[in-house]
Amino acid sequence: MSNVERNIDMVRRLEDAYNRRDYSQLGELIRDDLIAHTPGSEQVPQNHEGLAANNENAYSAFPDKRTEVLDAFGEGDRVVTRIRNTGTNTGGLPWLGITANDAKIDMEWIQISRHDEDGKIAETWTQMEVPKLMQQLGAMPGPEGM
Amino acid sequence: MPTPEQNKETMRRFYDEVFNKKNLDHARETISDDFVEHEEFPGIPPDKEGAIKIFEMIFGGTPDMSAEVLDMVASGDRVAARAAPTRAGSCPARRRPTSRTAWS
Repeated sequence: MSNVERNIDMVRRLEDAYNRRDYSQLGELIRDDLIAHTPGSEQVPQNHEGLAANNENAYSAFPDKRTEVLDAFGEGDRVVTRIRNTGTNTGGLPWLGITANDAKIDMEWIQISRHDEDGKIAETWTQMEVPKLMQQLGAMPGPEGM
Repeated sequence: MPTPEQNKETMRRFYDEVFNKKNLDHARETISDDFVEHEEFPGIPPDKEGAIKIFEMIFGGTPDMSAEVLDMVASGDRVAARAAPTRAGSCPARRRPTSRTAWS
């Protein structure tokens, strides 16, 4: 397995761990001093504990949340992944002022990750379909209302 | 088939010609006729024509805008670019990228 393939595998395994809500392997997959360039990521500590808390917060809003890696490629110490996220808002997102409304979400994000010499994720840059997410949650008017 | 390095060069040139020099002819030449945009913009078709329209809108609103490519990753027929808009101010020393990133 090349380093790029190993690094892609790290991202896949991390998404799999998040989907199983199993945080026992975070230490093998992602550095505890991760630097995440994602809007909102500064609201939780940027370490394993913060990452687990982030995922658990998402599950409190979307108990049926699933992510799926739709595209992955890499070069050097970088990996690019396009990830689909689905779920139903039966729990509410109080941190955004959104109550539980059974809204179904189906959106994607693209992430660039930098991997250290052991393949662990060391830094991430993420762009999400935030307008689509807010429309699907009913927190923003859709295209016909704009 | 172009190599990943050639695709990166195409992308780098696209940013320079289109975002920095506002050369929409270059955009028309470089964007494939069957181009598909997956980011939804209300009222704008997700194709080549729509892409040109979006550039016209951006440049109409911020004519002094330019963009800097901060990172590029390529493999197979894919290129990911992380870029930030830079906006020229009155004082050149104060030109700096904003904290937002953009995808292409």
